[in-house]
Order: sequence, then C-alpha cells, then structure tokens
Amino acid sequence: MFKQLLHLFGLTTLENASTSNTPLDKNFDADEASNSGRSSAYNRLRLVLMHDRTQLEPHVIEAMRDELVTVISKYIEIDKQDIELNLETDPETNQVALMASIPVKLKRDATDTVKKDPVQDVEARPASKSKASTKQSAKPTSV
Amino acid sequence: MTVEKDLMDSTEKAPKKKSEKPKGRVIVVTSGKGGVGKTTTTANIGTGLARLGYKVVLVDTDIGLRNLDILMGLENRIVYNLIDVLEGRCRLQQALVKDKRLPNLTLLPAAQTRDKSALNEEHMVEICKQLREVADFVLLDCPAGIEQGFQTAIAAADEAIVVATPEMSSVRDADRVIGLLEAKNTIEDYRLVLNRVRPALVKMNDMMSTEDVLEILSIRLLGQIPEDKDIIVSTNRGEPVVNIEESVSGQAYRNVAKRISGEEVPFLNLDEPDSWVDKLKSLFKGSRRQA
Repeated sequence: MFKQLLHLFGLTTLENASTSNTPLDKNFDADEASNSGRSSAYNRLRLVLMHDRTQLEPHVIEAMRDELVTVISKYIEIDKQDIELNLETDPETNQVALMASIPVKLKRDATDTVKKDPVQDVEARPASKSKASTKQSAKPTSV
Repeated sequence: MTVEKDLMDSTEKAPKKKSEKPKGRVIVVTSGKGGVGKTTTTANIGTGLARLGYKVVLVDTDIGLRNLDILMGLENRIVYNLIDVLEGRCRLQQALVKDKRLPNLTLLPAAQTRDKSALNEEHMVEICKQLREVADFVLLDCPAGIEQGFQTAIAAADEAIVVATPEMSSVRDADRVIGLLEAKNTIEDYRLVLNRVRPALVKMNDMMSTEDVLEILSIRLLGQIPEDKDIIVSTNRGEPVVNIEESVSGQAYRNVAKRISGEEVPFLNLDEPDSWVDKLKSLFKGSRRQA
C-alpha cells in the first residue's frame, strides 16, 4: 500500500515535469480500453474458462479433429491441413459454440458417393472414375 | 470414544424429531485459490452475524494449517480442537472457544499438529449436525485447493460463499470451485464475495471490475470488499475489521452479514471522488491528446 502511494507520488512528480516523456508514455497508452489490463484480463480469462468448462484436453480435440476429417472426407474432399477447430463465444448470446472451419477442395467423383445419395442411386454406374462433373471451387464451410 | 458415542446418540435421536427443520444454517467459505481472503472473510462475516445478535460458531476445517484463531485473536485460549472432539478427548462444548467480546460467538479450532486425513466427510456432517442444533449460523472455513480437504469441508454445508479477488488466477479457480459446488446437490445456494477490489485501478482500466467478474462467473454478488489497510492492521491486532466502525471494509462486511441474514442492503459505492492525483493525470492526458 505504502509502495503504491510512493509510486503514485513518484508518478506525480514526473508528470509535473511533464516534458520528460520516457517511461510515462506507457501509462498514457494504457488508457486505450482495447489493450488495457482490464480488458486483456477479461478476454484471456473468458477464453481460458471456455476451455476449462468444456473439459476438453488438447489431445481430445486433436482426436475429434482427426475423426471429423475421416468422416467428412468420405463425402467431400477437404483440405486436411487447414482445418480449424475452435471454441468461440457469440458476443450477443454468450453461447459457446464449437466452430469448425473446413476448407473444401472439391467434391469426390459421383461414383464414390453413389451409395449414400438416394437421388443418384438409380443410376449407379459400374464404370468408376469419370471425373467429368463435380469440381467445385474451394470454399470454407462452417459446421 | 465418548464423542463417537455422542455422535451415535445424536444420530439415533434424529428420527424422533424428523419433521423439525434443522435450526442453524451451515455455510462454507471457499475459494479454490489460497490467499484470497477466505479466513478473513469467515472471521468477519461470522463476527458480523454475531453483532446482529445471532448465535454463531466458526469452524476452522483447515487441519494442520490453522489460522482462523489468529484472525479472531483467540490463539492463546485454545485448549481442545476439532480433532480432539472427534477422537473423544473432550466434548464438543469444551472445544468451543468463546470470542473476546461477543458471548454468542465461538470458534471451533483446527488441530495444528495433524493433517487433513484426520477429518473426513462423515465427521464433518456429524459435527455440523450437532452445531446447528445450538447455533443460528455455522461458518466453515475451507482449506485452499479442491482436494479432499475441500470435499470434506463442503460435505456438510447448505450454502457456500465463494471468495475471489479480481485477478485471473483467482477467478479461474473460483470457476472451478463453482462447478464442484453445483455438482454437490446438498448445497442449495452460493454467492460471491469479491475481495480486494481496487476501484482506482478499475477506473484506470487496469483491473477487472466487479461487474466483469460477475459476468464471467455468472454468479450472484454477496458483497465486494475494498482493498483496505485497516484489514492488515486489524488482523495484526487480532480484531476482525468488522468491529471497526469507521472502516470501509468493515462496513462492507457488516453489509454482507446483513444480506446473509436476509436483509436487503444496497452495495457500497466504492468509487472514491477523484483525488488530486487523478485530476492531474487526466489533465495531462488531455493535453497529450491535443498535442
């Protein structure tokens, strides 16, 4: 407490001699709410608690990611390297959501998906690998 | 041995007055993180409630690291302790240390020479069962951490007071504790006492505000206690700050006690008027910006 007081007085004397602007600049900038101690503590804490509360260990998230990759790539070709899996909060509702950003490369050849797609089921072509139709531009999808 | 017997007796008697609601409320004061003011809070809320005329027993469940006696200034009056009661070396009444001023306030000290394994959840439940028969409030000072000592302390409680300071590590640990309290369905209610609040720092955006912490923890506020040198001074004197009439933190604790007793008390406005230092600072800030 006493130290604090001394510190304050120290500051004051420095400020009185306000032309010397070296160590104080930090204090002036700290006023910017965005990078203040208060808001960084608040934001860091929210992130930490989000992970604490889901009780997801990093290796579990890794495992989930791998499984997602396996499942999704059964249906659609994705960029396995650039998948992002994050917990995020909706700032308005405060609802925590698991956000997966999965960049899609292109659709698999129709013959591969044939069994899963009832529409195409009729025309199940025996000849494989006709790469004619279904190329799509890369497009990240949110799940 | 005799106490084991006492305890057994009371269990046997219990069914006879089954319909009666147990008299006293058992409240555990807990935090997860150490050093945030659990014991200070226990001492002050307990004393505060006793000042309102309630019969209060403070129980130090921090076996091996007892401190509540020191904050109450009763360290020289201890003869028996909680473990002596459990192991039959004395009766419960004999172990209760009377407060220096308030006759309706007593302390059940922890054993200093033993460890936490000497106390288990069943012991705690039995002791509290007896204490709530004779007291309006039984306040349990919980050890730090979330291990067995914590589990033991919360086993007998109806309500909890979570103590935290507006710092990241403290709030994180409090969140963990709240999760554990929620999982415990014997605990009906819990609220937050935010300790060591420094309004000047909040104002400068250097520290999280009470609202920030409440929002993050989604918990109801029981009280906010300002950082106050009176607490250090009164601790050194063995006198809870709640007894010091002119102290701000004392007033904050007196309000907390009233809220626990059911009275609605508005929260203290901790904002101090701008000191000349602040004014000077803002003046210089202003001139900087323009420049």
